Amino acid sequence: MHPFWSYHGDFWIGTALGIIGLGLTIWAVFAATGAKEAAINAGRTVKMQTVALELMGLAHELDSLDPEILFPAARDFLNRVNFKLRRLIAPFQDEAELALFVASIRDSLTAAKTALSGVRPAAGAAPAPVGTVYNAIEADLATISGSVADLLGLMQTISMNIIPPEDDTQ
Amino acid sequence: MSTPESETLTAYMTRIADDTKAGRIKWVKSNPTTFVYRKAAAQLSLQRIVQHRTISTTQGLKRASVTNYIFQAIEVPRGNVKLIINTAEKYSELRPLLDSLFETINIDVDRDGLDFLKKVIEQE
Repeated sequence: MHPFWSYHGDFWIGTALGIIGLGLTIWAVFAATGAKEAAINAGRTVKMQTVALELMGLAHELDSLDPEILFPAARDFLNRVNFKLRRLIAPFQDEAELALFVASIRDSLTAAKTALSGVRPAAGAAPAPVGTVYNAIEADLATISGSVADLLGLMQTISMNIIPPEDDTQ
Repeated sequence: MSTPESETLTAYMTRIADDTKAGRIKWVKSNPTTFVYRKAAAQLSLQRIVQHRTISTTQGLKRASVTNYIFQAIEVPRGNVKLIINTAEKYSELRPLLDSLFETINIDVDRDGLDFLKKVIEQE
């Protein structure tokens, strides 16, 4: 007695079609996973580029502080920069390549605020010489600006690396 | 490195510190890190600045801080700055001396505050 598959050719055709179908399904899953990953990476790149543009504007502001700035203006300036910079860099705090620079910027912002509080005019005190406020925060702002530039450079490098060349042309 | 200018400045700063200790120079606190002394034609100021730097090392980024001083002599009422000593840029060898001067001034200003408080209490 022969097993039934030895004389049922349609069994083999069905089996072959089933195997091909399974293969195609597995391939489709892999393709979809890759596409999803590519879409996530592309989204991340777009986000990085948007943030990079805003960071460039902030870096310019940090480098062009008025040397004769007075305490109230410096306080408003630093509050604005602090809020904006922290908001911009927060999404990247868990990115392994960027976390160090994000932490450095946060530390420098805190240091700048501490330095600024060191020149808060005492009530009724003699006015400090022009440039006192600038001198107090200049170094910390330069550190922030340098860290922002480092972060920008890394973001650009990551953006260039994560998009495969064929995706660039799409 | 010590230069003739820095030696002269050292002598002047020492004199200012001595006069402060003796009460011949009365500084006022302009803000928590700046003291000002004003007389007829001039204003002196001393500012302490703690600067933070991020240094890249093989173990990652490290933060370091350095204390610098800015001493200014300004002609009044014109406001012309006649002398600036910024230890972050020049005369870094004067840093210990200015550190000592800052502490001397700080102690003197605190002592003035305590004397004032004593007077207030004794008037009661």
